[in-house]
Amino acid sequence: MTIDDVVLAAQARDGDSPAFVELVGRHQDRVFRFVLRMTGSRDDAMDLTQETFMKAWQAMPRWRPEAKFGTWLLQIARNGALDLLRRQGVVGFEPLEADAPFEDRSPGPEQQLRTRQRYELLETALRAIALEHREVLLLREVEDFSYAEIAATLGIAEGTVKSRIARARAALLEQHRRIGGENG
Amino acid sequence: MTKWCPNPDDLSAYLDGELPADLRARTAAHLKTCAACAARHAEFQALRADFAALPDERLGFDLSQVVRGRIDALPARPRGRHTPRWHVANWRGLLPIGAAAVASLSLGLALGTSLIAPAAIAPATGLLEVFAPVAPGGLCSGLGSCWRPTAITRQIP
Repeated sequence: MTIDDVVLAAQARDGDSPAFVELVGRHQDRVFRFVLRMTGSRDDAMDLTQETFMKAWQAMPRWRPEAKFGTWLLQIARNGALDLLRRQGVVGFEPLEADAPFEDRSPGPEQQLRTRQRYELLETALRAIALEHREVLLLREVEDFSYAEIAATLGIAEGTVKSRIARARAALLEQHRRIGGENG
Repeated sequence: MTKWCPNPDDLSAYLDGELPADLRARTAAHLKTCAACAARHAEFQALRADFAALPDERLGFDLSQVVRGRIDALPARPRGRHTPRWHVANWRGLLPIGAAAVASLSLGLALGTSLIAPAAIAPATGLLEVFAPVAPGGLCSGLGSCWRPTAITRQIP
């Protein structure tokens, strides 16, 4: 029988390292996948994944059962990825205005790319959009987080999540078309 | 009549199933009749399909053993309590020192208060009687010597 994350996390919070190690095994690929697509570097992602779990272990006494362990963990992973990108000077943060006017562009869909071409194109387009857009789309589309979970992970309001996802999709589609057009 | 279209945020949230029921139903009905919104919705769906087709990236080794080794190398964290036990123990250990400090402060305050209290500034009249010109039990020579000493002083020269 599989023990719930919440039970293991409670044990880990109380200093039970085998319980925490079990959680590492369950969540390592998810954390790795997320930071890999945030940073675009496999080496950085491997280091970040390990550091995420070490930080989580240190922070376990502050974990509360109200916070889903996977969400809490990705919050730590995300902060680590942002710190790394800032140190590398890869990202200059441009605050995204939740109330900024949103221009809706709706050209026709592109259906001509094959599956491999499509995901390569998507990976490239993802790296081309703002980090705030990238992370919100990864949490929604890859991690399948609800708006409430994304809000908890990013520390923003659900309404902001909703508008940011809409803008992120528009930005990704625009990059998708631009890169697809250059390659096509 | 102006044609209603959901705003871009709502159209995006519709894909995520994050709209309230009434708006969701209205949007669903609208998508059947509006080519522009239906095309946009199809683009969102295509993006979702692309995300689903992304390769399932994996770390490729068992990180749990690495983490176990690093945790074992750290100073042990106490088990069984949310609050570190040493913290509580230290707090209890400081109780005698705290009590002694409170007692010292109280004593100091009491002494200080006794020095500046009205009783210290103006001692009881009974105490001053020791310095009175007429010995206790002696006869009073007159009303003036007892009650108007300044007036008598003026009359002597």
